Amino acid sequence: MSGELAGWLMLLLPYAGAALVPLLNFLSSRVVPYFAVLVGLASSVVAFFILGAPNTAGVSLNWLPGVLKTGLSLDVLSVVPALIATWIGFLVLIYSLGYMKGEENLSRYFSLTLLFIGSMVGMSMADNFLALFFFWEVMGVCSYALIGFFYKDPKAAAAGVKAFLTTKIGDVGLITAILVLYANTGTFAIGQNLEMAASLGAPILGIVSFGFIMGAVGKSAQLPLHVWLPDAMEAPTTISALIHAATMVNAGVYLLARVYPLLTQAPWSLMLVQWIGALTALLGSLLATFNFDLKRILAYSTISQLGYMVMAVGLGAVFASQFHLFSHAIFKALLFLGAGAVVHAIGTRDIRRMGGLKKVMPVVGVTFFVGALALMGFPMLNGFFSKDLILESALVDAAWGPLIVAGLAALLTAFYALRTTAAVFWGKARYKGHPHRTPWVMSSPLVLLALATFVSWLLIGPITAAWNAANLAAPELTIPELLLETFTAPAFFITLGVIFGGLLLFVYRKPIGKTVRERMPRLLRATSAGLGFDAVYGGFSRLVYAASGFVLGIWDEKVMEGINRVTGWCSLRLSEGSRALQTGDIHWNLLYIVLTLIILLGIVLW
Amino acid sequence: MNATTLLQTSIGFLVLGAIASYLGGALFRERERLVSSVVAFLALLGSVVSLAFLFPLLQQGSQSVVLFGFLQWQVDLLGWIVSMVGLVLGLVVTLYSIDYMKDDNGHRAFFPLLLLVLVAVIGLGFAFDLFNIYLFFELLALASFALVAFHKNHWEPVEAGIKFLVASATGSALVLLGVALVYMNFGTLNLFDLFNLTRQTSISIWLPITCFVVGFGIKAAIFPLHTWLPDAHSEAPSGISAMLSGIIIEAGLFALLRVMLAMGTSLPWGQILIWFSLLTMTAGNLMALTQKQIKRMLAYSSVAQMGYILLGIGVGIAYAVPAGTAGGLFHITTHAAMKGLAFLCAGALILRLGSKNLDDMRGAGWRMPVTAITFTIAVLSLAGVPPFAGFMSKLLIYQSGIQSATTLGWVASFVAIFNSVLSLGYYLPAVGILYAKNPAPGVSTIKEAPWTMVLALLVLALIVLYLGISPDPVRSWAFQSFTLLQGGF
Repeated sequence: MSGELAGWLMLLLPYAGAALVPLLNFLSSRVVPYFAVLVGLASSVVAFFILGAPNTAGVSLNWLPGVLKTGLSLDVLSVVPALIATWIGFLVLIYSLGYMKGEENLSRYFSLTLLFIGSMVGMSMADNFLALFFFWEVMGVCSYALIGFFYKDPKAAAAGVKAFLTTKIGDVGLITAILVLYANTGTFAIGQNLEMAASLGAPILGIVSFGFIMGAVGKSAQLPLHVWLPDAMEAPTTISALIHAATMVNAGVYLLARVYPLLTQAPWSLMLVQWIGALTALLGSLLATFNFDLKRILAYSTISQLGYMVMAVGLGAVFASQFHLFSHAIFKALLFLGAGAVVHAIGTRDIRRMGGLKKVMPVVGVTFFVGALALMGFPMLNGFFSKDLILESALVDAAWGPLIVAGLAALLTAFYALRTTAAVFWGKARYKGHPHRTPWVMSSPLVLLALATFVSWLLIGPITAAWNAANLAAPELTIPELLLETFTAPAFFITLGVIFGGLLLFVYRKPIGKTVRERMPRLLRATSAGLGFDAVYGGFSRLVYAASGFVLGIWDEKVMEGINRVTGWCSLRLSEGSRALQTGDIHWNLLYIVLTLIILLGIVLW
Repeated sequence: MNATTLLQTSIGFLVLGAIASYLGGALFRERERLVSSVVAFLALLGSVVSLAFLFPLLQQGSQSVVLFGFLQWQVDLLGWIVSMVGLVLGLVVTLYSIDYMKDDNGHRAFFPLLLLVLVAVIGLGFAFDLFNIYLFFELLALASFALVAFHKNHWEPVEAGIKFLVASATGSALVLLGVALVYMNFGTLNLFDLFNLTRQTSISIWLPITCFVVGFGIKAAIFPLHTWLPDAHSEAPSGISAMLSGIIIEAGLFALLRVMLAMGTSLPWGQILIWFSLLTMTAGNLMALTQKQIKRMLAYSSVAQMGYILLGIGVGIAYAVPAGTAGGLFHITTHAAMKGLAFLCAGALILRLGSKNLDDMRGAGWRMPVTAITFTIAVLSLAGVPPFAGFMSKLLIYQSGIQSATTLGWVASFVAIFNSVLSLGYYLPAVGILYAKNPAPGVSTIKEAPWTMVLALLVLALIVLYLGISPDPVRSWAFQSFTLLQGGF
């Protein structure tokens, strides 16, 4: 199979599956989950064929001549998110067999999940901005519908709306950027636009790059549009895993990496991206430290890890960012699925009511700990290598500000990762009742992912080779070189230092916690309320809602209704008037013919 | 096989099929409907297949052929597309009519007449001298007259047929006058010679062309020459309405296009056609807006759609914009599929409900799901909504107006777009009626149409969807057919 065909299949299989699931549901609702898993399996098998053929241009369809030519572009940059979406998506589908067992509306769930996966694949492989935006929006709709999947729970429904609206703010920026680019270059093709970026003037370049950054900030939950992600935890845990590891949030980072050549033309935008990333990393880890909801901790941790990736793009280390995206997808999926197993088993998300679970669910306990170690950046796990690359690039660029902020964030990361694992799995049991056993369909993806955290970084050799073949800046590293470079570079000591710092924090967590509680009660309250972002946005949106409701009332009732009446009345009168011409009398018909002849002759002779 | 043989086979199938279908029907009185229709269907199938084999031979340009030793034709891609559209639509309509015409008698006349219509369409497609065009034009008019007035025991169809006959006889008289004038001035009727002659000599040709515009315009239902159309389309059997709307009125425009390409590019005829097209589409849409009968509504919508095709052709001739002529030709193709589909769906509803009034169809969509869905596809496509075929062809026509970079072109494109919006004003309520929650009396007991009819609907719906999602081979053929033309041919 050629890479091209594989690309199309990876896109079309999930879409076809999503379309077929509701039909299949008419026949038998029991086969639906298995069918969805089969579709996932098929596309993940197909995905292997794409590895052999990166950098093929892909076919293009001349859909609207002169306006839109759409197709696939398969290069190293676009293939990675697509592969992650397909493979992690497949694991999530398997896991859903157990996790979603007995829920209602499973056909909706599986159909949307497949659509979600397919859209992420389409988004990353699109060769023009319009198609990218289309898939981007489909993802937005899927996230809305899936986060609010348990729509009878008002919290879930509200979270879906919040995710949709918050990311829409970014989408407005993205579509503005795309249209401004189109107005200036006359094409939607990504490659051509990036080539022509240098010839754009400074103000246009500014608008465009700011728009792209806005889009990425919304989708990847960066400061200040991060508020939707923690709330999105109301979704089924499988969907959280999908959003955090395979689809959705990766889209923003991918977009930044994709338009990086354009961003370099406006250096201030790279600066902006660096700082957004670094501050988000710090904010995310800080909020994760002070939270007691298992899934929310993981959500904040995603925000913080995405901050690293965004920061890396800002530092020009596109490769490091994509490498971290890859690592993060694996260990975050692992953590989420592990958390899902825990929540599934004891029915609460509060870590103060867990503890000692490693005796009941040893597989989950061990794999979760592996995931937490990868998150901390513990040496020889995949998170270590990718995070190390990012810190190193900050060091090389002498970007001291972001480096210090990111270092602090890494320290807190090490702390909360340990604390969460300890609170859930170690120590004394604080839960009530008898936890469910974990079915094998749920534990086997965990084991697979845990193994992957140990070995995925070994792929760095082929990946960097492919990057260099594609003329993208990447350090060409073989595994020994990577090891040598990693363990001798100063960044290694930073990484080690922050892990050690985190350990120290963990060891002295009780006295520190006591001090914080006694001396800084305000900090505690503020962080547990998300530092007030939600309150401000909530108030703002209520204000906008009230104001627009008022204006809309006048506009709808008075202006539009009036226009509607007048145009409707006019068209009806015109229609009746012209029907009067249609007499049905054959003499009149002939008269019209003669009149036309005379008028035509008049025009021609005159 | 060469082009002559293939074309002879294709026409032979139709002519012999017509005879066989009549004789078969006459011999087996008991099974008249089945025998006549199946023979006609098979003959059409053979004709389509042999015409399809002609396609590769036309890739390089036109060829002149002499059929049966006396018919001198010029075979080109342009004519091929129109003939193929007609044949495919005829095939679907034959399939559909097997069950639709169940309660009628005289099937041994119906199906042969349908085949004769298609012979005339092929003739108009490939004929390249004016007299031949006139001849096939008359054959088309006579055969379709008999089909329009097929229910001869009712008054309305007969009245519609008479109107159609009088109008089209007037048109034919004008065309014949034009032909005579051309022969008087140039001494030849061959369009290829005329193309060169009209450019070399200064003999004025305004009078014959005026005659042609009005004459062919009557058949093509250009406003205000369209007055015969609403009666004819609504009173004919639904399969025939589909043929009338889908290919017969287009044949008039196509003949006009041939003549214009040969002789009309020098005078301001292009602009005049654009003005006519704007009048036609606006008048058609306005009149459709308040129709209560489903087939009359669709008939007026055909008038409006003819306006679009004429606009494309007019822009193409006036400003030499390839997207215009190709857009017009592509719209002929898509219109055949979508309007044919709309009429066939209307026919299925009328067959089951026994009423042509939209009011009696309230809620019928819940009882006849396939018909209602395909009808929805058809009217959305007619209104130019993506991703259906009508969007693609209308888009080309809008583009052509803008590409002409003239005020008239821009105005025309905007009027056309506005008209699309206006047309939604009657298409959407029709769909809404089908899916109404409070069914009309009599709706609750109906069933879905017979399977042959449903099959016909599905085929056309798939074509509409296919051309909307991936227009390209067909759309590029439309472009190619005009680039292959050399000097009008």
